[in-house]
Amino acid sequence: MEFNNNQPIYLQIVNKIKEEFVNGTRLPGEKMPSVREFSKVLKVNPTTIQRVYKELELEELTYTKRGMGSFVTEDKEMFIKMKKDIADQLTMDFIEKMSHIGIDKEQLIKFVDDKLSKEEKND
Amino acid sequence: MIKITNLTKTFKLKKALNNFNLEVGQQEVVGILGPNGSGKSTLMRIAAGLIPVSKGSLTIDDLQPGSESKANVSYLSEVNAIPHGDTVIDVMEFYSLFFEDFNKEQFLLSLESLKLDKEMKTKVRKLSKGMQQKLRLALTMARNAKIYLLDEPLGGIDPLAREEILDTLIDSMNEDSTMIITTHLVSEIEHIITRVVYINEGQVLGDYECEKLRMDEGVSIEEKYKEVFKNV
Repeated sequence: MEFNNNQPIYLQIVNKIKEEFVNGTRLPGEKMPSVREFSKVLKVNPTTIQRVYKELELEELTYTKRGMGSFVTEDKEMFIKMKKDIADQLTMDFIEKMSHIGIDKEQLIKFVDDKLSKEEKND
Repeated sequence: MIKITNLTKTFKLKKALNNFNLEVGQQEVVGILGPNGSGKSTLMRIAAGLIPVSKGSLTIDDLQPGSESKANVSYLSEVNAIPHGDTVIDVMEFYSLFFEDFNKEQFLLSLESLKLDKEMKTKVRKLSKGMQQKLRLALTMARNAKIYLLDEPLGGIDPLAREEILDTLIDSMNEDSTMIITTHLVSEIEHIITRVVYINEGQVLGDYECEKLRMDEGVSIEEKYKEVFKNV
């Protein structure tokens, strides 16, 4: 995983894991890797992973079974919410970037429409 | 764990450390970053119990550096001190005799991942510089110590070997590891350290929690380094 060193590493990992939850790379009820395994894979300090797991649990996206480790939530509502959160964030980023180059609301919608209908044609 | 108070170390007329203050707690992995001659290695050598302080104090779990504290401290020196005529097996046996907390099994596993396991009967002097450094790191990290002091673990190592050394470092870390790492290769240890201390001319120029630095100022350890040293 490539990191942006100007942003907290643990947040980048949290966001990446949320993406993996939403796109089905990690399934509901699946066991998460141990802190040490995960820190080896991502090549970051184990303390960072500990913080990631704390954050995920705080947001109720994972839960701990005593002595067995961390598991992905089985609550379907949470997946729907996560998907919505990520989509919200991406849309906000997109709108902000478009406004930086002076694109107003109507133009923006037209851009999206045009792109989508072009893609449909290519399909 | 480590408490450094008003520490001064003078060599002849030069002050290598000048009223240096720092406290390192358990689970912290502290990167000490600074240019050559900033006092990094002197600090490490004092903590390892190799040289005495001139003024002030440095304690490890309330002990002055000495034989008692050394039992809890695993130190990688900047200069290679392994006898060159010894084979890798000799060195391993020496470590396991000398250090009660030396874990042979872990050492052999690290050698395997560092692709040094076929060199067990090779004399140290026949190994390349990068291989010697890998061997030294594997020895240091195979001790089950409370604190690890790593002085320039990446010094003079090519980028590929550097990556292997960093992997070994992460492999041997756990959530309780306490470490102090000195380096002038800032970006390489960006994801390994939890705290960064910038030093120059034997004094602390800046001291930051890494994630807090990224969160509050939106800068990397490397960018902060440039900012801190800009006016020096």
